[in-house]
Amino acid sequence: MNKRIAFSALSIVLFLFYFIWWLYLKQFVPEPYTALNDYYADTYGIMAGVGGLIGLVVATKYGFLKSYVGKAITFFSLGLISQFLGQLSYTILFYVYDIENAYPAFGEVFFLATIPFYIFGLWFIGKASGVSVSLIGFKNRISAVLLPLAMIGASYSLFLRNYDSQDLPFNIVFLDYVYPIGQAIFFSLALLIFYLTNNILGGVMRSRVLFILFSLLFQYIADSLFIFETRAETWYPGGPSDLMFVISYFLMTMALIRFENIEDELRKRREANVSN
Amino acid sequence: MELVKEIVKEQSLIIGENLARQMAIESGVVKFNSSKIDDLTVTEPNRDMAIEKLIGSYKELFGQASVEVCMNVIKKFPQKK
Repeated sequence: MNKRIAFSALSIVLFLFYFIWWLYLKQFVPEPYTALNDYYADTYGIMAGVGGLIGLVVATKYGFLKSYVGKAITFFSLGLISQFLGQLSYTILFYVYDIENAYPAFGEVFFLATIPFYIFGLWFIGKASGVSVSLIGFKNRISAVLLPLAMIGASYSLFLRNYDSQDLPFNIVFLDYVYPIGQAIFFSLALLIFYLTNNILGGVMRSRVLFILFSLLFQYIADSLFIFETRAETWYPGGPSDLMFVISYFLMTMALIRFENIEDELRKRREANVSN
Repeated sequence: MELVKEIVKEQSLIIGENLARQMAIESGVVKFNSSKIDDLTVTEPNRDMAIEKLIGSYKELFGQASVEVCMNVIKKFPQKK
């Protein structure tokens, strides 16, 4: 069995496990704060951890940190691993030290680290995809500045406009600002890369790069939904935002796995060209 | 041919040495003499044909983006070589 099939099978099994679990909670568990909900919220990060480890294996194919593609895959993988470690930290606080509602705790260091990891991943995938060439044009350079600013402005407007930081400790205020703005930055970079490379990116890598960008859209939706639910005090373990995180981790994992089978696709394309 | 080596080396910075070597070999214009990325022999005597086939091979990966990388190497390469 080759690596791609093994990695894909593992990821699909994990995803189906957590997806079916979530459906079960939705359908058969009316109260949102049962032990089953807690176990769900405390363990779905495994999807991200496994995805991150898979990604690091895939990155070795591209020389790990010795190439742009290798660096991109490595940083996206580290982002996934950070998500897993963040959740693991809170799980340990709850089950080992019996501390409920520990936010903000040490685990936030890992969740915060996801943002620069994804930004670096996007930086390098952009360099590999021809962003440097596209930035020669003046219009594109303006877009490169305006799009992130617009996204930061939109995030501020959505999440921080009526934010009241009075009586809140500095660390909470800091995180409440950094998360939506940091997520806006990585998501706007993803949009920018899509826009700047649309006419220049081709070959077998095009679909792979687009898949990564698509998975980051889901990560952004998951993060935004989590912030909304938390602010509205409607978040509960095993709820909609947890499912969105599971989906986003799964999509990112599958996107990274697709970098494993470049040779197969190249061979099929050549065979198709020969037969034509 | 130095230009071919530079193109392969530049592509290796983007996609890694293993894939850069593989694509270069599959272009049919180079063979590698050792595991070093720049230790290669160009088997195609026609310079322009060699470069065209090499670029065509890398183009399969990132499309025009790969072509632009190769063109940037060619532009920077001294003309006399």
